[in-house]
Amino acid sequence: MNKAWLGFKEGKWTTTIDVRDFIQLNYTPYDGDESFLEGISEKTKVLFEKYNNLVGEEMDKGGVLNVDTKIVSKINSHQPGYLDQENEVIVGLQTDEPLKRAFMPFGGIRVAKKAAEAYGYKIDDEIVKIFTDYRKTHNQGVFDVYTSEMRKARHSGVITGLPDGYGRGRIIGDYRRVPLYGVDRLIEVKEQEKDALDGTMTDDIIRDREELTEQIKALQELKEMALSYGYDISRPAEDSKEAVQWLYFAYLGAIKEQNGAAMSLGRVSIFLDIYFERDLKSGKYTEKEIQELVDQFVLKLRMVRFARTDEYNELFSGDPNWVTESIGGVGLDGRHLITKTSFRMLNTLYNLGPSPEPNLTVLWSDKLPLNFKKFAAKVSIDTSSIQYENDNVMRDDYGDDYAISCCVSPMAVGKEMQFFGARANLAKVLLYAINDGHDEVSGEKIVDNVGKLDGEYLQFDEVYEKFNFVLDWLCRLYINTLNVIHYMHDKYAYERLQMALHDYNIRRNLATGIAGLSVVADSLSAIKYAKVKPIRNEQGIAVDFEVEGEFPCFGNNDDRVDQIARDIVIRFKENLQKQHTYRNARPTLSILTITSNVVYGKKTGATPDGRKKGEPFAPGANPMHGRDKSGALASLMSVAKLPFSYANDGISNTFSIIPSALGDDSEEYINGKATPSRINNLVNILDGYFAKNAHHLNVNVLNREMLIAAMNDKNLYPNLTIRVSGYAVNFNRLTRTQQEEVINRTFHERL
Amino acid sequence: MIANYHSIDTFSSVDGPGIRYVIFLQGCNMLCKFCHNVDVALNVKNKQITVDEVVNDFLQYQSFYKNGGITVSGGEPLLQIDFIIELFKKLKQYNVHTAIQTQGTLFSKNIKYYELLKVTDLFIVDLKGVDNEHSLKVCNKKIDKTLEFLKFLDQNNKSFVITYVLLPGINDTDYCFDKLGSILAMFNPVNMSFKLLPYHRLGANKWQKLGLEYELEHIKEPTSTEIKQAMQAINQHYQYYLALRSNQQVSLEYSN
Repeated sequence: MNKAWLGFKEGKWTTTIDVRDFIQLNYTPYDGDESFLEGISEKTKVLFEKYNNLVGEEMDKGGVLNVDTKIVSKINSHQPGYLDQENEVIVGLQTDEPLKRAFMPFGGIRVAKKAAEAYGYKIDDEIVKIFTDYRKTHNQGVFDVYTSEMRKARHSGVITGLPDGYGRGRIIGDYRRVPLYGVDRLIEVKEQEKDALDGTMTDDIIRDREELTEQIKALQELKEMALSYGYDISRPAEDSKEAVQWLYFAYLGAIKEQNGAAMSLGRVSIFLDIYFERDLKSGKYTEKEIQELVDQFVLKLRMVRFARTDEYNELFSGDPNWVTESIGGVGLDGRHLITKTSFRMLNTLYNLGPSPEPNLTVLWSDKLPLNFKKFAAKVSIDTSSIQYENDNVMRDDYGDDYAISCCVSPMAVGKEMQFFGARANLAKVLLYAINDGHDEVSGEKIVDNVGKLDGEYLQFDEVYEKFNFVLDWLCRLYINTLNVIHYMHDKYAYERLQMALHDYNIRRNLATGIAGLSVVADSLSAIKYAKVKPIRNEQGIAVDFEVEGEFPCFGNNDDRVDQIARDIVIRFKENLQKQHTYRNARPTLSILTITSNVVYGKKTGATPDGRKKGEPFAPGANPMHGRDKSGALASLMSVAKLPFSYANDGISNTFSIIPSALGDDSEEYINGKATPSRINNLVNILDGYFAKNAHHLNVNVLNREMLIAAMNDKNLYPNLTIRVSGYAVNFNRLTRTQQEEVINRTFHERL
Repeated sequence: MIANYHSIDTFSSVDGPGIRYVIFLQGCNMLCKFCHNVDVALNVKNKQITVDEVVNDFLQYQSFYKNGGITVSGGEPLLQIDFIIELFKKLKQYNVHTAIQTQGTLFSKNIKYYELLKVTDLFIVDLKGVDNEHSLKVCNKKIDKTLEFLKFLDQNNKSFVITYVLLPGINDTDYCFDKLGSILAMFNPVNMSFKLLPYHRLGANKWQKLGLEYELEHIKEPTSTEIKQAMQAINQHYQYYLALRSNQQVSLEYSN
């Protein structure tokens, strides 16, 4: 046995690449409480202060500290960089300086150039010339192929945020393979996979051979990069520190070369815990030192930066990278997957303060130990930095070694990838149905053969039929557009390192999404249960609507409208399944907007539910602001009815509550019982919500007044973190409109 | 059995232990100047709901109410005591924790109240003043009945929470806190707990919407320091009277 593996239980994983098997045979479930946790170390304290100063400088400079304008970023393109070498236990930066953003032109030179220019930097002329005249980019490839219909749909905004000019992201490399096996072994396996591909050279085989070659090259470059920091990662990691460092190098290699929208980490806590347990037992490390490793690793993850354009920032505000780490869940054998490192990871939110990154995601199950549930709830109440996803609804399809990518997308680590497809604007689909295929803002004809509606009032059956007609049109066009994008992304901006950390045979998902579900459900409900009169302009386009009478709204646990929302999701998904997909990918669907609900709303005319032109949609699958009037649980129940089996790329729901509404403080009582009622209540909310087969919940425990104060003075709460649809942001990095939207969003409060 | 109700909130964690389902019954026999649910207090015909409808609606959410239950609030819910008794009887078949928010002024020692005791786990009783004079000023009713009701609960070893709305400039004098402490000390500490409710203005606009005059325009919401200080003062007086009571073995009967 390899000496790096001494003390580990052998199994399948020793002869084949199988990290899950390693975890299952070697991890130690932990049922205890948080009392063993350690605070921040002296070294980390120094680093953290330096980091905070740099972030302060970054904010003062408008959000970007520095941009690399000369070096095309690759795995080993930059000299080693440090924050404070003396105090860094874990090393490695994306570029040669902390928070300096790398230049990544393979997704598209125009976009990369624009991103730099947005912050006043100019990319070296020679580089621009190379990527304009000699080296084609992903972006160029896509636009060479787009049909006029695709361009029109993209321009009108019925499909928005497509990764046709930026890195698609959402791919999670199994970064754990590097510490467990060492890079040489991984290269060896990839060589074997490549050798096995001979015989008739079909298009597929040729592409696979080329991709495998690229993967092998990337692994070799990864070794060189690590060596420049003084580490030989060709061999497996031999102790806790090496395990964290090797793992981080693997992730670092990925983020040096890819500026994907979401660059998620995977499910690493439980993996690292095995090394920690072994070294704690032998006395090689103390708990304090182990927490130091975790804190410093997390601090590095907080330093991930990419150069983005203004348009991108408007869609996905707050500089998010979705360095998502999945914690917890339950194994297929029924043992829970909570370890001490589940606690250590959450403890970073105390040692290093609240933060949006890494995007800490707890995979919830009723079977998690109560001590952990309570600790997670406590951390949520104190920091608003955690999201929760229902392990019980994901485990069947994704097994017990999946991780969440981005916000809500589950994928078996190293065995599955996805082609990210942003989202379609459902509210526009409805308006196209009402307006004979014309865009309600530009007046331009987007869809043919929809047909005009007659009569003074909208008739439900007629509108619904046309809505479904446009929906069918959209699904066809949407999938075709994604096929084009991902063909070109594979060709011109292939994620060679991340894919090197996958099996050869993988499941590919084509991930679509929808925005505005609650707007459409309420609109159709209004048409069905009240009387809706469109106000049409001279061109015949409905520019506003008059609603007479009451109608049920999504978010009140009322089946009359909840069923409409459910039906739309099912129809959409069934329609996707009929389409031809690139590389036979499996179409999936998410109900998620991130912060783009504001931009979608801005580009969408008035809707029959009474929403005015330009007003934001609700985020993700949330009910519309202020329309969930039967209390928080009724609101949660409506969302829980959306079927995860049809929207298995995730259903995002954001729950915001003021602290006093979450429970009494026993200090307010005489003879009060000293139970931590807020923690218990939050645990019960999560248990109750997920028992209804709901998928995801962001939890914010915040005061509206605090947010308003923070909006008016950004120095007041520099680290104020809030959860928005699927990720967390530093509140100060949101645009004013988005801050207002967050404040207006339903806060569950009781007097 | 049918109730006249105002609304239902599926989530409350401040109206009894745990997470609770709250039904607000329409109508009240008082109109307190600080009422923050004046729309609920008005004696109008609002929406109707049956016992079975409430039970079925409640059960949908039961997975959330593990350590919680149901609270009937108002208005003054005991105006519809028959409905509550029947509702709670039904819910007791499902082992639901039941609570009532009341001011207790409708109390009389009759069979219905004994029935109510059997099916109610917790009473949250709002004390409208420390004596009749204070109560009459703000709420136009005496507190005699409320005190009788509290004694009834205590004698029957029921759990109850006494709440008291802190109105700066009106009922936050040392006299009030002293009096309040003596009242609290009358009850068995095992049965009784006390919670101070800081006055807030969030209900003021409901008065204006209904075309009613809001008379407490001049009252400010207490600051967190004021709340803390009030709580300390009340507790000091309470502990004093409690010690007195146990030392002297005398019952400090309330007299006005």
